[in-house]
Amino acid sequence: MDLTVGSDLSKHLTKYFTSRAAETDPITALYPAFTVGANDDEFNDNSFSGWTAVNSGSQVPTVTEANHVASIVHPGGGSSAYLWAYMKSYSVQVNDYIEIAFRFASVSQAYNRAGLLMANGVSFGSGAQVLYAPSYYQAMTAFSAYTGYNTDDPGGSNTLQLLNTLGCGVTFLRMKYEGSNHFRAYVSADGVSWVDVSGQQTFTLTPTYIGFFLTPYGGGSPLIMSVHYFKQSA
Amino acid sequence: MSDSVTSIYPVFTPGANDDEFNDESFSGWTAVNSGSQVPTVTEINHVASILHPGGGGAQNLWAYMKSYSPSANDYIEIAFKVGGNNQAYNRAGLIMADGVSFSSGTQAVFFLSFFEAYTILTTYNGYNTDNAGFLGSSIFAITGGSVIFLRLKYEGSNHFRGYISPDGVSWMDATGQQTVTVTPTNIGFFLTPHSGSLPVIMSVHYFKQSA
Repeated sequence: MDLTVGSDLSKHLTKYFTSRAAETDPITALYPAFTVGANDDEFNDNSFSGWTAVNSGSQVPTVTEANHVASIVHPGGGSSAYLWAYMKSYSVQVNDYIEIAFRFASVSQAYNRAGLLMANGVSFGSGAQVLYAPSYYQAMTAFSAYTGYNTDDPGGSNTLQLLNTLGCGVTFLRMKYEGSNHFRAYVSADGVSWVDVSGQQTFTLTPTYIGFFLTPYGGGSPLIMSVHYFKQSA
Repeated sequence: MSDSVTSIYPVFTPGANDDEFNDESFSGWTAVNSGSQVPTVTEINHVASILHPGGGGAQNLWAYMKSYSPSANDYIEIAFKVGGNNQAYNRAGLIMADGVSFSSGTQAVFFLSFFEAYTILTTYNGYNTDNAGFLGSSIFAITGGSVIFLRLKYEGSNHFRGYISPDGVSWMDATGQQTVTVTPTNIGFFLTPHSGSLPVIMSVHYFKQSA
């Protein structure tokens, strides 16, 4: 056998093993592969780092990064509408979006939520935020303005969609900034195809931070958010 | 080869009573079949895919058991998916029992009742009688269609506790401590259409017992 570099057999073997290495395991692949940028996180180094935590009140979630997820346990409690967020500094450009894939578990209580967040600061009690998240108790997705990480402003342009549009198991969400206080929300079943579920909505915010959050919204029981990835458009 | 980027559950070293259903042979389990209905079990693609044809007496369970006497604070754990028609009351989950004979003995069960959207920890007798109604029931609030992660813990002296998880990494108490009068000597899992006449499927990714 001629296995020298450049031989026909060598080329065939190289082609074979390159194609095998590029295969995705159809049994377990949860989302498309992507090149990780500066603000992206696949939670695959067993160390939850690079995020600024915004903790509301005395409740502090426990974060375990393992098995390629960030598994976040909120103990329950805290005042109604408080958010617990993990943020990165980034001045969002027109048509930038952020995206997340995660799973969720809790008992049923009003009003567990977990999802995406854009904000203009990371100080609890101040600033403006826009969130996009399933509201599990209500079987809806909420797309709404917040202030101070503690005050829901569900009126005005708040948009609710049925949770069952989110499909199965892993929840895929995307939130897009379209400039001049305009935002749009998308859902996906797989991270490949995306559907606009909100139309263009107006929330008064020029975002300089991006991230994700969870909240029991005052419910006393724990909840768990298990994040597979967070990413920002290139 | 395990692709840890996308694996459904954390990697673990299988012990004697654990099963990742990855050898394409469903073995080492004692089946407790209730009545003439016999589920079909296919182990392939790293799951045990169990098809119950539907029918059978109300409340009958179809279980797969291993002989093991849990010590206090031992737990058993499972990850699975379910599929089936919308009928009262498809159920699937974990079981600890003091025997493997249909129509006898007592069982502590913690399961997903997916028609009712509940997780329930309760007592069964004889694999065919739901003896105590709902104990520590909680609304099932995991996103639909997901892999279901359940854990049933024996705390000694007839005390049990049920946990849920979205990922097998973090767990939360979903029931509080509940009393089921049984000293378990067998552990396993089950499914049932609970008298529904249509088929139901349980696809099990793993079963494990605390080390």
